[in-house]
Amino acid sequence: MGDCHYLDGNVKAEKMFKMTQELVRILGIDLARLRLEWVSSAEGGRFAEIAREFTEQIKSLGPSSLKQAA
Amino acid sequence: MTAIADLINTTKTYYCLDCGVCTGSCPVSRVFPEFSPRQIIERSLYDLEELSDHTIWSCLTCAQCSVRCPADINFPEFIRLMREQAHFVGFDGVPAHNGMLQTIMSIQTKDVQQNRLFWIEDGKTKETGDVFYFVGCRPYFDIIFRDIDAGSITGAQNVLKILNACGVEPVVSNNERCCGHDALWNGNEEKFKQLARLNLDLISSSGAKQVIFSCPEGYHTFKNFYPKYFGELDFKPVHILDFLADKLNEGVIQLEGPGEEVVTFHDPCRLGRLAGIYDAPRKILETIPGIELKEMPRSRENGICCGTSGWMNCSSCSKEIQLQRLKEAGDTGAGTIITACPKCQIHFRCAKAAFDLDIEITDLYDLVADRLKTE
Repeated sequence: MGDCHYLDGNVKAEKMFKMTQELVRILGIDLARLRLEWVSSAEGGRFAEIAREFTEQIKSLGPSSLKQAA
Repeated sequence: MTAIADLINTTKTYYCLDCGVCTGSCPVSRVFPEFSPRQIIERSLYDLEELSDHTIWSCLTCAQCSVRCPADINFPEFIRLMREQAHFVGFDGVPAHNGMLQTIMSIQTKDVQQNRLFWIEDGKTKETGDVFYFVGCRPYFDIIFRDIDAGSITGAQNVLKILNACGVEPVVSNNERCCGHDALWNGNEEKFKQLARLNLDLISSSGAKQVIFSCPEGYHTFKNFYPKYFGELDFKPVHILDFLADKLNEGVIQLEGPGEEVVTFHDPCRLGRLAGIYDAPRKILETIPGIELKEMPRSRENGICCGTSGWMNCSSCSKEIQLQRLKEAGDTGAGTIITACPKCQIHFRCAKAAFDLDIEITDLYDLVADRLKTE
């Protein structure tokens, strides 16, 4: 942490992520739909791999209930 | 007829006397001269106003102007209807916190199963019953505003503690939605109606005859706007302050010291000017031994707004209003400003943190819960 091109950007991002995680949980949305990963701009391959894998995960979860009006 | 001309007729704005008391009273105009209720009305009357006017989103809808208007024009309602029209054609205010709160409200219109009861701990609640405690958005605020120590959920825990002490075990529900107050004042009537419908169905299924509110916005919205859209309610909305004042009168609960403390009370606009509750909080403060209430020069119907409403258009003007208000509170000699609205508390604590001010900001229910006499 702190080793970020945007100085303390990753520290802020982690804080924001934790808050979002708590909000997503009390809103009743599956936590598996949210993820934080650290990928630097030099790690293109890793970025593609994570994006592919996360897309698969979301697809396997199916449509969210947010698609439907209550 | 244009949309604006139409709403001049609905709100009878043509009775305007051009006196300017509205702009002279407006807490926003004082710090942001470009915003003028009088000029918005004048432009509207002469067919010069546009729905794209960005200043319509700066109004706090705090009703300081309308309580003083000699022609009895309801400017907040005029603004609300104008925002509805503006929103309809694609204009909106600037959402605070990057629109996070508006997104949460939208999600709540959907088929979600919330997990919002994490705060109850050892409080006693029921699944169904005569009394429903409408908690409001405090569980969400608690997460979002933790960095300014807003303490939003403590307020809900303390209200439950007070209700339990009065012998009431209320229904508290995971399926409660935002009351729709902000959607309404953001000009989004559709979202308001969706949220309100869900809340009405929920309360109806709980069998409650009484719904208790500790949030002035929720109370005002249920009491004055739900019947406008959905007809007469089959339950009674009750503000906890009125409920509490009765219980103290009847001697059901008693409050005790310790210690002397000088406090001042900030009237939330939705509680005071819009719901007409001025005396109940003062009576409760008087009942607490050792508490001395020092009023601010601008109190009761002249109480100034906390600077932002509807999670929208928070700006340096909001901060200036908050800074002035907290200084006014400090000048009374009080060490603590008491509020009775979770949003007033958030806005003041944000200003306190930003300007490093030396004044305590306390929720009235936290104070009462702290002073409950236990046998």
